[in-house]
Amino acid sequence: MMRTVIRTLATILSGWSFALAGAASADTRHLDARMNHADARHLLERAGIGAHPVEIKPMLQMTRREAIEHMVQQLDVSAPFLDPPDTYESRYPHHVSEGDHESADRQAFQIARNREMDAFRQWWISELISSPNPAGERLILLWHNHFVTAYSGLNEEVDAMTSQHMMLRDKGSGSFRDLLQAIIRDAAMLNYLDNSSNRKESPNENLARELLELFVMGEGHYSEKDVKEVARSLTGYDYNRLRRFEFEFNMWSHDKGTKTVFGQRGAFDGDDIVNLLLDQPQTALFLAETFWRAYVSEFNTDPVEQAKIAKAFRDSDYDIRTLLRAVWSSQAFWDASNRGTIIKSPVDLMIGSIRTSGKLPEDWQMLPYTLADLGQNLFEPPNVAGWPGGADWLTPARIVKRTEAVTTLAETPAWEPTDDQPVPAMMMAGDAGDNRIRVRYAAEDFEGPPAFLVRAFADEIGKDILWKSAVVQAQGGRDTARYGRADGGGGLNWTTAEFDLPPEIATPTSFQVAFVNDHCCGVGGSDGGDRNLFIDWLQFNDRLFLANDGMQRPGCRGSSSDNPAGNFYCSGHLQLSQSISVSASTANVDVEEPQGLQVGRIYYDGGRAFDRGRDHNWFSIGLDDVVFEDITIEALMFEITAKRIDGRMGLTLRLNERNCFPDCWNDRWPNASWTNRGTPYKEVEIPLTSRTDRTSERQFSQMTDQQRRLVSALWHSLPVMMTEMQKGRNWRRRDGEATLGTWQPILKSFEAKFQRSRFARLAPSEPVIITKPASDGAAMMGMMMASMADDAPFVLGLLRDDLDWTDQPAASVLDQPALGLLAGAITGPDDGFGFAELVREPAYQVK
Amino acid sequence: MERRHLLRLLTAGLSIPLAPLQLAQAAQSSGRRLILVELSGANDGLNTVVPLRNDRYRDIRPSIALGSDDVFSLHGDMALNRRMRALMSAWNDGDMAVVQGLGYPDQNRSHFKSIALWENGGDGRQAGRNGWLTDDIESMGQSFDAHGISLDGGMGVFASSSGLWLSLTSLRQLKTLKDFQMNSTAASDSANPALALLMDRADTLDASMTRISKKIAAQPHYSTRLRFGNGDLSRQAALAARLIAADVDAPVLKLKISGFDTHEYQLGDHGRLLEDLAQALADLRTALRQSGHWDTTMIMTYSEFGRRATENRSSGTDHGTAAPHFLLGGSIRGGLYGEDPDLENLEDGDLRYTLDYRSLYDLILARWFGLNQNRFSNHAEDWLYALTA
Repeated sequence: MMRTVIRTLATILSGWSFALAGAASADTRHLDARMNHADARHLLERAGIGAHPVEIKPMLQMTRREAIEHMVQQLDVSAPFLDPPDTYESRYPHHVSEGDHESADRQAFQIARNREMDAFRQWWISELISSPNPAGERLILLWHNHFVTAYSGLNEEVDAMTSQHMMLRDKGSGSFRDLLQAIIRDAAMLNYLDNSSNRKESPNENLARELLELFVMGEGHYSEKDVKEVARSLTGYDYNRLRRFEFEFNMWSHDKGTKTVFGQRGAFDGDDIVNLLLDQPQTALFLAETFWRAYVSEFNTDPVEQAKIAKAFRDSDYDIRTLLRAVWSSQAFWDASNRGTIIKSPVDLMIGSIRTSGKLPEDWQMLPYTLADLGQNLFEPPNVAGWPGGADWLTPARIVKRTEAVTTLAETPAWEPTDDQPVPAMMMAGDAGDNRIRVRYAAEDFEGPPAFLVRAFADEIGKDILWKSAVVQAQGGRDTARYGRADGGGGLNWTTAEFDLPPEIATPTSFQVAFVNDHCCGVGGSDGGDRNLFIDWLQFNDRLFLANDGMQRPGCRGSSSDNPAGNFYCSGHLQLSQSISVSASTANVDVEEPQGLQVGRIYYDGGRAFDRGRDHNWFSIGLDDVVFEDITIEALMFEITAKRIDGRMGLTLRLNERNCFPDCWNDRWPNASWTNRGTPYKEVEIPLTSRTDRTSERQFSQMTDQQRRLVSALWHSLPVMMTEMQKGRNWRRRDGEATLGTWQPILKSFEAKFQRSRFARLAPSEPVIITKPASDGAAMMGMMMASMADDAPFVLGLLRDDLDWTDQPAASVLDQPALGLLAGAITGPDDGFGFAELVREPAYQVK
Repeated sequence: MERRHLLRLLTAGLSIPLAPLQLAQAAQSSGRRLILVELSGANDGLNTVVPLRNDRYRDIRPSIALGSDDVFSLHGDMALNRRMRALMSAWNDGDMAVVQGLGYPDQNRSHFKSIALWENGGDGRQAGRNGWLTDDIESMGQSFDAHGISLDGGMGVFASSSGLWLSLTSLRQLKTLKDFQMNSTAASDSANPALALLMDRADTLDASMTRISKKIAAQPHYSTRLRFGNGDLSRQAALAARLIAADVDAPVLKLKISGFDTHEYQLGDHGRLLEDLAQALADLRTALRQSGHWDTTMIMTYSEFGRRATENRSSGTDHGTAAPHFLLGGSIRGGLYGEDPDLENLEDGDLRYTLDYRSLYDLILARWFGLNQNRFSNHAEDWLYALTA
């Protein structure tokens, strides 16, 4: 019964669509054609990624119109198939206080963030392989290359980069207007194009210019004056590092004056600019051209067809699905003259091949490096214009690598899940440890891989040896004789080697990694490659030794200075005696629940010298990981002000919502809190002495007892905090001594009041306990272990072992040859033309 | 499988005529070359070319200021870090110029962003896209073995979708590249523009590699008489000398030395870096003089930015603005160019730049390569032209 209903419905629907088509012009008649193999492969490769027989076959039952709709249904990828890695788990230090740490900790922080980026990149690549919605993933790739942002330009703000990616997933297939409004509020974009320094008094035009030139209109359709005026409109669009990269409109930096853009006058802000841009006919045309190059042809254009697409887009009020439907429905998209006129990007080439063949290569974890090598390192487009595509994929430096990479892919055995392989012991941070030494390294091979060994010492300087490992051959090195040296760290394949320290050996104090078999070209530039070893870190139980903190004893001149420690361009050893703890446990875990205010780190933020002649003086202190009773605050910054009230100096403590994450008060702000004009943030100012204004009084009287206890605790902790924050780097760099030295007399004069003031007397007896985790331990350890625990992606989101057809002749897989461009080439099931032959064809490089 | 047959089939029905590639007419190759040397990490200009007689220098750098024993006097108040003594003979022979105060408006202090600006000729207001010299060098024609060769693997400065810009970090790669051949039977009759481009690129690369290989092979015993150090830059310099001596015709070569990001305790590290730099360049000069190519060579250093004029509290220097750079060659007019750093007129502890770095780009394109109308003509500084007069 049900089935009948469905069939009837389907009949009606198809009849209806036929009627529609009949009514329409010859423009859409081509969409009634039933799909053939070539059509299916074409649509899948262009609208999606690769084309596997299991995707092709169902399409043979569809008309082109139905097949297009099938692809449109895939566009929503807001919920990915695989879970993305959580990059904000137990982060320490936080971005805002990173600068207060000494260099080793800052470096550890940066390494941890880079590793998170690597994990996220690996995840997206897995998602591209696994997704049942390749059309949606293709669209995200397009937006990533349209609203260009590169992680290298973001000062390790990995969360901004990953949130941008998730934002594109959420908004990428809806309204272009919404998407643009999100882009001008996107932290990664605001950082990458320097809008954080776009202020009323000193406008920065970067974002404005690229918005007009690259994102919305294209060169030649606006004036320099428009750029300046758009820049003024975008002043004050910033984000807050303390609040996990939340967008922040900084009204004090915003130029509220009248601007003239495209002949219109008004006190425009960013949203007005988005609307003005979308009023320009050129905008739809520019987007139509962009989508044309991505989907129809990189070589051929057709202004008439592009104008039709633009009109459909504009008429739909910039609905992105309508745009894509129009592109895929155009005659040009299906026309033979446009087939094979897009050069496959590295993602097309590598991930497309995996999806087309159904074969996941056993070294799939190396895909990010291969893509980088071929010029498409995801999240690292080369500049704000993105990957140019087309001919740029075929530069001399890349053209050889492309053929090489895809041939290697065809020859690499398929990944096989192994049951007997023990899951690496997940060493929980803070454990007694498994006595295992892990060394992260990368290799450049030349006539063989580098070899190295590890020594353990009882002392720091490497005299009193306890143990040494066997010599191991580096794995996964890059053959420099064939491919040359890696272009920076991005081209290196990092691997982790493990050594078990026998239990009878005493706990070592230091370690040494020795590179023993350098081999190179020798003196004077004779030809040859070079055998090099790169060490990133060594980890033993809960100690992490960063190579950069080590002492390298090179056997040759030059390498000590033009390279950081850990880069072995010639034989030598790296002495590692400085380590950081990667234990998650805090320095003073007590059986007893600590009472009162607990803080992870106290740092000097800024301020100005105390001047009795001024009515208002201030300085601010930052706290990480605040715990007070049941209030937990990841980051908190408060201001101490000395202000003249009724002619006498009084101290106040000021807390602003923008300076707390997630919130200063567990979301219960006194009703009398101020809200700064033009900002969404609340603020309270608590006096220390009774001399105060009425609002402050009311703010205090509306607080809960717990909130008052927290305020008191902050007051009472002030002397301890002032001492503690002098240990950090901000104090030195921001000249805390000179600034806060001037505050000592006035603070001293108020210290007695901490006990007596009615605004401060509810403090617990212990002022503040510093819990100070030694480093970004748990998160970092998690990241290090992550690569071992990574699950292999499912090709096409299917758990089927018969997907891989690469060991069969292509023709036997399909009723008819499915690989459109090769139609007719394959004569019978036994002609021996399989996947390995296919990828070597020049025609395989285009789609 | 009949490949030829197959390719016909592949392209059957594609009716677009073959788009011939834009082959610019071969210009007369001047035989001149530019060697770019990137000082990666941002070199500290004030401790490289030192305002020795300026008391303010010691005030703002109490722990890292160099004394008169640490330097060689160049001219007037300025002196060269003694660790660069390997280049003193180049200076004395008039083969080395120091151009001071280089920078650009709206300084960007990110390593990543600022080196990209130097590579693509942009500034803090607008970034470029292609490498700063790619378009102009490509306009000189296709008669070269390559337009440019990167010997450190970095291709940012050669970013271009056209042209023959190679990365060659070892001569062994020649073989790999040379062995690469596309089955090009169908290229000539291909009507598909994408395939035609692919085949054309493959052919061009193959021809170029064949020429370069032959030239290298023609002088198998070249290296025996030369002495280069073992540092990374020295190796690149040695490879450059080898290619040039073999008459490999590439107008631009690019080298790199890393480690200049000296935030902490910089004296020792910075000195060693300068020593490596100077030694490699001095060795390269010796080699090119021997092979008779020094007069047709110009070397230029560049870096992300200079470092803060005032030292930080870790006896190092933070990211700054303007810096001096070096030009070397057998036919340049050596000496000190540009204004001495004005330490009395700092902006938040930073030097103000006194010369847009793109004036140097114009100088090189206009005066060295004869491209009077070039991408940076609007930055031309006539007085700077004395350098190549």
